[in-house]
Amino acid sequence: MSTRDTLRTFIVDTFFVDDFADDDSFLRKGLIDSTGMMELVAFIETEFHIKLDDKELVPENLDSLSRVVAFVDRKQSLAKAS
Amino acid sequence: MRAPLMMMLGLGPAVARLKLRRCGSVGATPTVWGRVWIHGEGEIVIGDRVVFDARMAPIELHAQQGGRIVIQDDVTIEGGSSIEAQSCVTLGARSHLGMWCKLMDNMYHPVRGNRHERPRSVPLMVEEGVTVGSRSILLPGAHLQKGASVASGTVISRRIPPGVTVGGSPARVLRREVAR
Amino acid sequence: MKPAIPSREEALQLARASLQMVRTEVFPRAERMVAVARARWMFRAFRMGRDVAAYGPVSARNDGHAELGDKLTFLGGMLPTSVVCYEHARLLVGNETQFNYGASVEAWESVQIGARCMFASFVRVSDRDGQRIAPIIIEDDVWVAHGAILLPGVRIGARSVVSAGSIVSQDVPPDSLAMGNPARSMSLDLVARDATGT
Repeated sequence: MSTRDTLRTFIVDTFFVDDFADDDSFLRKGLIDSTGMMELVAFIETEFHIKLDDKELVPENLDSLSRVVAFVDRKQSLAKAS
Repeated sequence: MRAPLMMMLGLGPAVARLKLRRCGSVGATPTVWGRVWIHGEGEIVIGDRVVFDARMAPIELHAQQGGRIVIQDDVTIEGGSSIEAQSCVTLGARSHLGMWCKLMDNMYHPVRGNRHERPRSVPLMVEEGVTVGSRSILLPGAHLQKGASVASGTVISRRIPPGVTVGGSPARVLRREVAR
Repeated sequence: MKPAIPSREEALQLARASLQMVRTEVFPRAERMVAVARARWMFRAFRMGRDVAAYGPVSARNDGHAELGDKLTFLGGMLPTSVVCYEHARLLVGNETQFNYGASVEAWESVQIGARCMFASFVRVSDRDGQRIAPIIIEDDVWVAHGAILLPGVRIGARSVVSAGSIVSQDVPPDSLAMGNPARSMSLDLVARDATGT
């Protein structure tokens, strides 16, 4: 399963949100609240074996599905490179 | 301990009813050990055979103006738990609240901006046969569906599907019920 | 000319209005006066600003240098709040900080709390955890939600929020939300719209 599908399945299963677009802001659409955001972060860490720094928990990285996917891809390639 | 003596005399339910006198309605044979602190102008409805075990620490039931706390039949609530309702908090039949639980349907302060205005309340729902472990916190929007259980110390503000066990902080699904 | 003696309805209305007035105006003020007097007695060992009010029981003890600011509020409830400052320790609490019932602040070396902070019920702040003693600094406008525990040596940045039930073991930067066990902090921009919050 691709990163996008894994994340989408997790979000749909956990937060019971109906179909949402890749670029929908989680905050502005009210899809995920703060507790949910922490759960998403924990899921990303265990699922993709990457470590997120607290400084990286900002809307530019995590506020929509496409941003999360881009962020995870970037982190994974960085991890591979090092 | 005054409660056991009263129970021996067969006055348990009568004493319990006296302690729960501020509730809107109380069902058959309630049991109350220790102190239950009931305040606020809202409505509190208590079903049959409800047990409040507040021997270790008092229990708080706080229904504010326009708020409603519904505790259905056979619910057990242990000491130190606190339920605060601005809109509606429902505890389903046969559910169990551990010690030091906190159920609130309003955050009371916005995360940002003016801390003195109140955010919107979201009703909180605990369905039938749910077990909530001690020191868990159920935040606005929590909806524990039938037979779910929550490990101790978990913070929840979302829907938990039927038969699922969640735990940890941040919360994570520990176990899904196998099909019977 | 209207007669000086009001009619029955008018009298009833007047009585009701004055009762309502007493309920909304006089009672809270009287309560506040009692609370201020009680605080003055309970915090007699503390250096204290004006208008500190204790609406419920507070177990306060000061063997060191404890200083409370103006307009603090200690709410009453299920369990007493406790504020303890041990020998040679320093405890500073800023103006207009509020404590809900059951909160516990313990200083063994140094605990500093800023102005306009809010401490919810059952929050524990202690700069000693059995292994080490390290100062705790809480900056202005911090909200610590129900049941959170702050471990020794942490610094909570201004305007941050510590979420319910979290255990904070690392510093929390300003304008962030700490959550979980151990707590991780994320930017408030991620979870709250500007000014209004969620």
